Amino acid sequence: MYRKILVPTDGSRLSDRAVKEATRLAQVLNAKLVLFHALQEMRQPIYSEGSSTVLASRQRVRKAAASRARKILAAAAKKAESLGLSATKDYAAGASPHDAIVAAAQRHHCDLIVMASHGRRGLSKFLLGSETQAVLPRARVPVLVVR
Amino acid sequence: MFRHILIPTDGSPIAGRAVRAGIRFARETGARVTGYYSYDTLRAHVNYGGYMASDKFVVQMDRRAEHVGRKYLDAMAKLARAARVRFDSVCAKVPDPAEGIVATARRKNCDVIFIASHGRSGLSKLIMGSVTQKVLAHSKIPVLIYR
Repeated sequence: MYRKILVPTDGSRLSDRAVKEATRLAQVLNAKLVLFHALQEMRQPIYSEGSSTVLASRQRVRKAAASRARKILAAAAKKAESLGLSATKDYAAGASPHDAIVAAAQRHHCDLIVMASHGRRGLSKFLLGSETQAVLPRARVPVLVVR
Repeated sequence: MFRHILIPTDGSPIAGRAVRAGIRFARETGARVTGYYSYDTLRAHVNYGGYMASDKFVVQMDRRAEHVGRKYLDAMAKLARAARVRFDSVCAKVPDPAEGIVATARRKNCDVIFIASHGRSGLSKLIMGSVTQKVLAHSKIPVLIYR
């Protein structure tokens, strides 16, 4: 039924749980697992009043984001591995994280997305995290929302 | 992994596709299924051309709605039987379908809800159905949004 599962992760506790659930599901369904991290758009300070600000170069910012992505994905892959499944890792930027997630699902030909109800900015006063909320109507494939 | 899947239906063709996928999902994960249908005749009661409907009429309407629901659930039972999936069903009269779904999932100890992205009143693929949206907001267990 589901052959390839995409799990977007931002390294938060809740998305860890999504990785765990997705790994178990992938094992039961005999499916492949793709761990994905959407690069955050970096906001650079344009100026800073009363103090001198060294503007990081765009390249340096990008490099830092990529290294963070690799770290998050390595931790997620380790989690999947500890449950006995080796996963593919990928990260990319998009106009926004949810666009990157939807595009990644298509690029990897995933037929299911498993994601946490909330992410890093998990304000529980909102019933659903903003990225999850945005992925749901845009995804072409089923989405399993884990809490 | 998942042991007990709640699959709500409103009898629409889109829900029908979700039902078939949900039963397949149950077969592959080895889970059992509870089918769910709810109805509410309150609106007919209030909107009866400016008149209150008689109690007898309301009872009649309820009986009809129950009959329709049973028909959908029987069809689901048949699919489950063919797939050798353990099945039971709930046909309930509740004012709010989403609340009924979430409450039934809790009462029946379901561990995942398998629901179509939109149902009978689904206007567009770009928006999520209101019932699905509400289930997602209130459910404490994972929800698979099928499309």
